[in-house]
Amino acid sequence: MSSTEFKVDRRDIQFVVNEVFEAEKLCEFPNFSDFDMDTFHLIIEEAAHFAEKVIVPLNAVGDSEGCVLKEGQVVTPKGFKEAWQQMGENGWIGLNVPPEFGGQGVPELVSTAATDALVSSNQAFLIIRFLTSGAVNLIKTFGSQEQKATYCEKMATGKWAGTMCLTEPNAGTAVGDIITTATKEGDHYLIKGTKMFISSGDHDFTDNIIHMVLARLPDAPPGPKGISLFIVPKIRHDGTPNDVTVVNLEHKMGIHGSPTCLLSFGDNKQCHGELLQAENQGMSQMFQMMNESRLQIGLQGLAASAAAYEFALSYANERVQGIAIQHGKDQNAARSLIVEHPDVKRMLMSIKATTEGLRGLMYACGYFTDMCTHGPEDTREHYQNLLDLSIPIAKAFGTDEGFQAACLGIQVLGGVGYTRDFPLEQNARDAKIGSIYEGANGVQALDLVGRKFNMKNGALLQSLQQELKYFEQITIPKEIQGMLDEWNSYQDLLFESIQNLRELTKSGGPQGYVLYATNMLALMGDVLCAFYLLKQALVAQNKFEALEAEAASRESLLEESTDARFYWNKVRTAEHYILVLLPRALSNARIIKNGSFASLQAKLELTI
Amino acid sequence: MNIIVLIKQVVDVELNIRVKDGALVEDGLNYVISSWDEIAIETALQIVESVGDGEVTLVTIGPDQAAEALRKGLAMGAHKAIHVSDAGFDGSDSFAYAKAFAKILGDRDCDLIIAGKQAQDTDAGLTAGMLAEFMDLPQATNVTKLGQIAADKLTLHRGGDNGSEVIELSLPAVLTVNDSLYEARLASLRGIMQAKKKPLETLDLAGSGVDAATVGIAGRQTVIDQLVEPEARQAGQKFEGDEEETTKQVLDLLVNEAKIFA
Ligand SMILES: Cc1cc2nc3c(=O)[nH]c(=O)nc-3n(C[C@H](O)[C@H](O)[C@H](O)COP(=O)(O)OP(=O)(O)OC[C@H]3O[C@@H](n4cnc5c(N)ncnc54)[C@H](O)[C@@H]3O)c2cc1C
Repeated sequence: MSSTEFKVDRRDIQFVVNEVFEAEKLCEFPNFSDFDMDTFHLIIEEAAHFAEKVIVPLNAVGDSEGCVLKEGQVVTPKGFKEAWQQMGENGWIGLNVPPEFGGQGVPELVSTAATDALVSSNQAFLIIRFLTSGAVNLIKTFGSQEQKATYCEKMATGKWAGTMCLTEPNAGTAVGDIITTATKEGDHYLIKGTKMFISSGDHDFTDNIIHMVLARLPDAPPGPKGISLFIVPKIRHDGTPNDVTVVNLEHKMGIHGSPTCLLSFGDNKQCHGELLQAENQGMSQMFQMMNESRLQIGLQGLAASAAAYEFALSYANERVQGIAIQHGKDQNAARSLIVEHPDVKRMLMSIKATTEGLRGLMYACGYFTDMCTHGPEDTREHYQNLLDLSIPIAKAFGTDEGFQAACLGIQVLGGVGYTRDFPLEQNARDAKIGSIYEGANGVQALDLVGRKFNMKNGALLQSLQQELKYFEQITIPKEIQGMLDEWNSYQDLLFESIQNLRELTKSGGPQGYVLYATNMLALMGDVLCAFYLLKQALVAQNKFEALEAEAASRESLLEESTDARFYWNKVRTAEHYILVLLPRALSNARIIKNGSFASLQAKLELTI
Repeated sequence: MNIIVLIKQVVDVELNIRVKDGALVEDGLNYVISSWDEIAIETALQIVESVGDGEVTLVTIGPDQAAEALRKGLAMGAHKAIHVSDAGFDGSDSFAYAKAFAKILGDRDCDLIIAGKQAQDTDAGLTAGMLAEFMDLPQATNVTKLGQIAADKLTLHRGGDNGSEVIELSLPAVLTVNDSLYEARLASLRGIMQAKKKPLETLDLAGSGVDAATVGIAGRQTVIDQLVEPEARQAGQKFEGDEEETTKQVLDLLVNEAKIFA
């Protein structure tokens, strides 16, 4: 592979899905009885194949060409439309949508893995897929029979696409403050208002675009309780255009292939919308769909890290610079590949550990989703708790760490990493949005410490505590014991820090409690990623030992067997996470313990 | 129209292939359907789709893991598959494979046998031709374009040494296809799900009816003298900068160094 051609890391994806989470066990549930291990394997393989063949080639052109607004219509970069259609025809849009709604009903675990392959190939291109599957989910869950029949299959197969219209100029994070109105008129509602930053708000992929619009009825109660959700098609059922106008297209730092639109609904008082289910249910409907959409954005963070690792590792094996330190000052020594330099190795390993830790966390969310919907009745609540607790972490920690890893990837390349000749600067620019949309990361942290910690009297945290006991019932190979002991001390630190955070309420009130929510989330993110990597390392170590038992020597095994090297590296990766990255959790714990209110007390002002 | 497609699972040539002590290093290799065979599957599907009836049957001779290639072909849309798998086939060459296929396909009812024009690993391009001979069927190799399809004949273009030929071929017949014919479709998710339910028949040497003496080392007509890695190629020269300037440089090198006009 050259350093500008992206290849999906099939081996690691298959490992996590099939060897660690043992996806095959999901086939015991009636909904998944049509699947088997070979099918899961082939799904991931073919998703990767599709990604590399169809979407990877569009990544650079999407960035350089971008989207343009021509005569009120958005024109997308060359090849995007065809790729979307092909993605729909081949089933990659609605892969987790149940068959009765036009999808294939693939388990979330496997669907998450396939999406991982797709999004790391082209972040901008996948955004419309996220929104379309979000819209399908809303309609299939809350829609009338007629709405389901009209929209779901068309969207799941990519004939139509969807949007999520929440944000307005004066209502971003505070969605409850939206002012778009909906007034009942006969059998429909008239929608009027402006929606801002609407991803795929207009494009040339499909004949119709189905906007899911949050709006307020005239007599609705104020705030979030007074919001309703409407289906607003760009083209009405009778084929006439609905009154939706693209006012502007944003010029952005990244994801140029994804058109971000300012939309005006009802300029001519002719914008028809259909109510979804019932009035004033909009926010709670959105909330029920949030887990999936937040996980997908978390995957975008993972994608950025995965891409950074591949490009950086590949370049580090091509670029010759300097003399490896073990050759001392011998100017006649051969020049080395930069991968030989310890600092470069450290950076590469950090990106690898981030990628694989995040992969563990994201896929766990997919697995929890399957278990809480299809698993044994008596464990469903447990998995629902784990899912609800993990989602804000997957979203915020995933996108923050993914972006950091993307930046570190640039660092590995040096000067060329900063240029447009290599895909890493685009990777970082594209990744940045992840921490902002779908609920800014600061707000995810609030969700974690404010809602999730306190939901059901702390039951979510109890489920986590139980889950983290995983290693207690298992024989631990010698090589893993040391890092497990180390990780265990962080587990204690995590629950101690939660107590310390609660203490801050006493001294600082609600303001004090949320002040270090982000540190709390990061601490938890690190402890969880380390946990999932440890699980992976455990599987890998056992498999490595089995191979070693058959081999002449460890050296020859590592020399000759790709599998052995994969397992060996996995254990090293877990160790790197636990001993090199995880210590930053100490810093977060200390910050929470210090509980400084300096930032609350300071009178910040510009002094110019 | 019933069509049999011969497919071969080969080493993914995009990966680094190494040779050690005169043998291929198996470790780290990835196996895929030979790319021309993917075109053969595509061709068969296109024909069956355009005629509107018939079935595409995939046949491979290969180890257990070759079943993956068949499953992928089924996911692309083929209707059924036959996997002939037995250590007795190890070491077969094109001649032995052609003999074996002739035996295996001999009694099966089909209108067309299609294969890639050669396999991506050995690049020999012999098996299908010999098979046609052994089965006493007409053949067209290196097909680049299909014309009219009738129940008993096919019009097609084939690439020859002196340009393209247009041929009418009576059926049943054997075709080998060039990659300019079609682009192979990607497997769809629905196809993957359906593949599992499609019939996949597995035969060993005895079950296939092939005479053990005609295949494997015993049946081969060719000898591999040695297996070596090709020498690494020198990197090409890159010209960057002003278009006019670089064009002059390239022209200068072509005329004065490479002496292409001499
Ligand atoms: C490229 C792009 C695509 C987008 N796509 C869509 C889309 O498809 N549909 C859609 O509806 N929206 C979309 N958005 C909007 C996006 O979801 C919002 O930008 C985001 O929710 C933040 O809102 P805001 O920009 O108004 O920032 P603000 O809400 O003004 O927030 C600014 C800062 O204040 C912080 N903050 C705000 N309120 C609080 C609080 N209560 N507590 C703590 N901190 C707080 C935030 O964390 C942030 O750091 C998109 C935005 C972009 C840039």
